[in-house]
Amino acid sequence: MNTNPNPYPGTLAEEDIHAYVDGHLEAERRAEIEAYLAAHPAEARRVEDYRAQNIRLHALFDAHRHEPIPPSLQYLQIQLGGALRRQRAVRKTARLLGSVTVLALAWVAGYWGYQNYEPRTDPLVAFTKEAAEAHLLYAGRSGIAPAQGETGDFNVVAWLSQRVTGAPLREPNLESFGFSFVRGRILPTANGPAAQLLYRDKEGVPVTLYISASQNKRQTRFTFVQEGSNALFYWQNANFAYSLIGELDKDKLLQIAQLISKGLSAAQESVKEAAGPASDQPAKAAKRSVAAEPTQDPASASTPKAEAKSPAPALSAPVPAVDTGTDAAVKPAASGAGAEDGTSPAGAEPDAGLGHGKQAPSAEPEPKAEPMPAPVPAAPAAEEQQKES
Amino acid sequence: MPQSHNDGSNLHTYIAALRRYAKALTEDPAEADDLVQECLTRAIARVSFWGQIRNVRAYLFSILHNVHVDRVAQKRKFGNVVSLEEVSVSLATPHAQHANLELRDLERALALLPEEQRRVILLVGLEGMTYREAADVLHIPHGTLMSRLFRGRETLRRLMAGETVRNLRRVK
Repeated sequence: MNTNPNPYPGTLAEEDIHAYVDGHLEAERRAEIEAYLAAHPAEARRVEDYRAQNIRLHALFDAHRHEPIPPSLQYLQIQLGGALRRQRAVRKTARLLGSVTVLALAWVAGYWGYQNYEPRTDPLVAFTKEAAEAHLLYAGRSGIAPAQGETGDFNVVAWLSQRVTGAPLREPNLESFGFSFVRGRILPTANGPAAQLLYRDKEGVPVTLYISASQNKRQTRFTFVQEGSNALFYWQNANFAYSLIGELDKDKLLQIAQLISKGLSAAQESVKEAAGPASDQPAKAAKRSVAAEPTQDPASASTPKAEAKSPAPALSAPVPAVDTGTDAAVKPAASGAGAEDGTSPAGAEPDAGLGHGKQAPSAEPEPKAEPMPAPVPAAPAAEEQQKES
Repeated sequence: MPQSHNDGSNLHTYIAALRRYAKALTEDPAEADDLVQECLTRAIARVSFWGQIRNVRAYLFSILHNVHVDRVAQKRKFGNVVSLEEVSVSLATPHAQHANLELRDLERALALLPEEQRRVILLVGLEGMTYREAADVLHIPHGTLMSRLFRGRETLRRLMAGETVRNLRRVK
């Protein structure tokens, strides 16, 4: 009870004496006081007097406690007891109602979240579905045949990247894996246009790369989804979301995905470095960025050309990310967040796939890259308008 | 604080304690029950539907204290003032019925204490309240409570020892 430090060592604080008399002290402090009192008989007598006062107060007045309560007070006691019980009941009910309300709200919120989960919480999942559907539609065995003029001239990757980042890119070169670029097309989606690139190997096995503007500007690692007979990897950087689909072995598809990710981001970097003019020649630009990175192994340079010359390092590169992919495949819906739990850093990073020392920061496009060019100039225009008016 | 005073199930005990305290305070059984009656009436009116009383005993004592303060103020207003000389005379006149001499002395000494000290001594020494509870009931800070307790107990002790004490209670 009394924890005030005693300002005068060797004496007792007055409050200690009273707390001792009234029995408010902890055992430890009580023992200290008793030791002190044993050495100070005058103080001990004082304490005894105070104690006697308490005892005599009870002797004087306790008799009144056993007198019968007069009827007028009994009546009030019953009334007060009822009021107190009602109050307790109200509080109890309010608490109960409170918890019921919380439960109901949680249920409603949970149901609502469940109903709205896919479109709201993970645009990537919707994106991969679109990608898989588009793959079946345009590249599957019974897919739609190419229309005239769809091949070649129009570079859909350049168009899309120009639209999203302001810098055109070329489609990735997958010749090192035996896949040749067939054609590209722009597909309308709920979140704006997407580019679909179709590749085929010599036997005609299709692989499609599906690219659209990143919806939530979040980096995600390679995430694996098995869509029927098709394997699908998706990943996302600050600007683009990618989905690579093919009826392929998962490991091979991952290697292709890593090559694409590496190549595209390197090209994007070099485009940024070269600030525009070099954008028509991404291979050259990428080479320039390679030169600027002394630590990079030239054999594994990330440009498609370099890959084509020496495919061996890419193929033999360790692919620990397969485990990550398996984990993610268990719960593809949660992969937006769940993929970040991946435990294999080398393979899990979209841009570290080749495993040859390219530093992560430079390998990934800066998140501050212009999101959508359209709204940015809109603001100054609005300001000008205000100035005029 | 081993006891819990947070519900009304001990109401009978609390009312018995209120009567004891009121009697010790007023030295008049009829007036004491009157105090308790008003205290309970006020309490019933104040126990709101939505509120919560954490410590019913302290709550009731607090109301009783307020009632008593009001009564004392009324008496003062109507001139029920007792001079020191009268008190001395009444001290000399043994009106207490206690056979035990020491108890009688204590009763007299207690009657001589200033009201505010008497309240503290009764709440702490008789009702066994913690210093914090007593301070809450009387609406005073801890330090004030302690100094009243120190002075009251020391005055009682010296009165009981037959010493003359200055600055005693002037108003009853």
